[in-house]
Amino acid sequence: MLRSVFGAAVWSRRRSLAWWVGGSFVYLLFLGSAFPTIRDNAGDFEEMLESYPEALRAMFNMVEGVSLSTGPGFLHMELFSLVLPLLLIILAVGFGARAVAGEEEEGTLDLLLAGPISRRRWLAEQFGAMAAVTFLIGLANFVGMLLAGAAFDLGLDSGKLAAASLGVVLIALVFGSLALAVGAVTGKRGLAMGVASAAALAAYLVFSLAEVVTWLGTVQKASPWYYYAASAPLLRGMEWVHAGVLAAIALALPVAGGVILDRRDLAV
Amino acid sequence: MEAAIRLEGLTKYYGRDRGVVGLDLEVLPGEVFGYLGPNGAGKTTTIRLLLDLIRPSSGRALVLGADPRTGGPELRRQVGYLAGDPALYRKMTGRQLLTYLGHLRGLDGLGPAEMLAERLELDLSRPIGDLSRGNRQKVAVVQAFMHSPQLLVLDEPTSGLDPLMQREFYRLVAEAKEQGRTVFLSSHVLSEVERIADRVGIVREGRLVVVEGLEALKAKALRRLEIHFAGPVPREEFAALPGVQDVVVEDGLLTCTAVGSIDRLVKAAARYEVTNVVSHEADLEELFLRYYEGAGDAA
Repeated sequence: MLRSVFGAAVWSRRRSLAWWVGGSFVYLLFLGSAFPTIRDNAGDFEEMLESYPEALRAMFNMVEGVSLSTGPGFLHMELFSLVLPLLLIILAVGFGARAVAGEEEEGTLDLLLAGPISRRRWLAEQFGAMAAVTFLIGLANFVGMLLAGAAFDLGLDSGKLAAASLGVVLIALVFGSLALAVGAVTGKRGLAMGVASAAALAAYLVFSLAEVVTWLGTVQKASPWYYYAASAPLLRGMEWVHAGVLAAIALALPVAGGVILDRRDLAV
Repeated sequence: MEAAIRLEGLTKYYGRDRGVVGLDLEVLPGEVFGYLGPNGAGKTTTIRLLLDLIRPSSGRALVLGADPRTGGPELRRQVGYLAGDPALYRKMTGRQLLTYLGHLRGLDGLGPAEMLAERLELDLSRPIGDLSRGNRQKVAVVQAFMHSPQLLVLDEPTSGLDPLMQREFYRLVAEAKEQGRTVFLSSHVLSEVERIADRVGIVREGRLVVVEGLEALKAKALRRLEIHFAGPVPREEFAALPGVQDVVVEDGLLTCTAVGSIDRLVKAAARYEVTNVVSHEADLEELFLRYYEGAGDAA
């Protein structure tokens, strides 16, 4: 693994990667085991949800025809509306902020960039490592959900589940890339994490509240979250255009950050 | 012959703060060049400019004939760098870090690092975070030398090394010189570069105030001497010696400042019974004040 920046970046996170994968499995099996109970009482739950204010319901991304009594509907609301993307965003933002700004603050970036490696390549390999690790954890979640689905009879469509899981990886990479780019531009890890977290929260709120707040409706499509959630791939299958928008943002941000990183002084 | 390092009016400001101003310098291939200056004088700024970690405000640097900015990775493959306060991955072992850096530099893993570590008595199997300051410095030394670079740029390389390891380090520098490599090393202590440098440049408040051969510089070196005598000695006799200043005698203790050779002073002292001699090298700041701001013009 210690042959390239990419390899070393993944290698240095091997332990946390293992914890994420293990934790995901445990959590998903636990959640899956709750499904039969919820299904049997879906009527009560849905009545309760109906009584919630509309704004709150919007936050569960309650698209047309979704029902807690089906496996996909259950996972859509319980996991994909917020919990799962939030977890992967936390992972990717932490990775992105550390990749340039964190290493710069530690001083290790000096050691590496004084060697035969360009700043752009550093950034590209770090992005690759962030994407690979996020993808691996997304994959582990996908497998975990398939297993839980089989064990507790969730009736999942593996194609739609794969599409939804890919969406989670992509939305996480959007904000991971933002942290990477802000870190590349400023060299400040805390700032990179703060900006990316705030942006993720804003994206989620703009998308959710736009359902009920009229004036936000026009800007809903400016929120990356729209391209993650609006198509509800777990229920309706892959929406390539939306996935493409997310992938484009995730790729464009590091490229832009690289332009500035190339020009600026590195901090001591 | 093309200079290994050439600075032409090299200037760096950090916002309004001075880094270095108008540096002109040529370091020849195969030369060991000592870059001396007190802390904060601009040594590290110069070195980071050479490695393209920071960019000049004006002027330029040429390293092995190339601009560090455009020379890119290909140029830096031929350079070994040791940072002033080297930051290393604390969770990696020495072996892991050096393997990683070796691969990035085109070696097949550790390469000669294993042997260098042996010479410096460095245990490669321990996590770097568990190592003492001196042992971390050894890791940093090894990584600078491991790919046999044409140019070594070393910022305060011996800080933290014990005297025995300093000697081994000087040997490494001497070997690099024998092989025709160029060494550019910074220090804030004259005695440190005295033993290995061919020429010395002194930087003060961002400006290069003097570049001289080591012999010429030694002739001007200042030393504070304390000579303890068994009995009282006449002050005048010592004060009259050329190159001896600030003579104070209290009972049997004589203190003075000597410039260059202390031969005459020692011979004069030898006429009395000497119980102890203590010599302190004057710090660089003092040396500058004496010789480059008027007071020492006589030398």
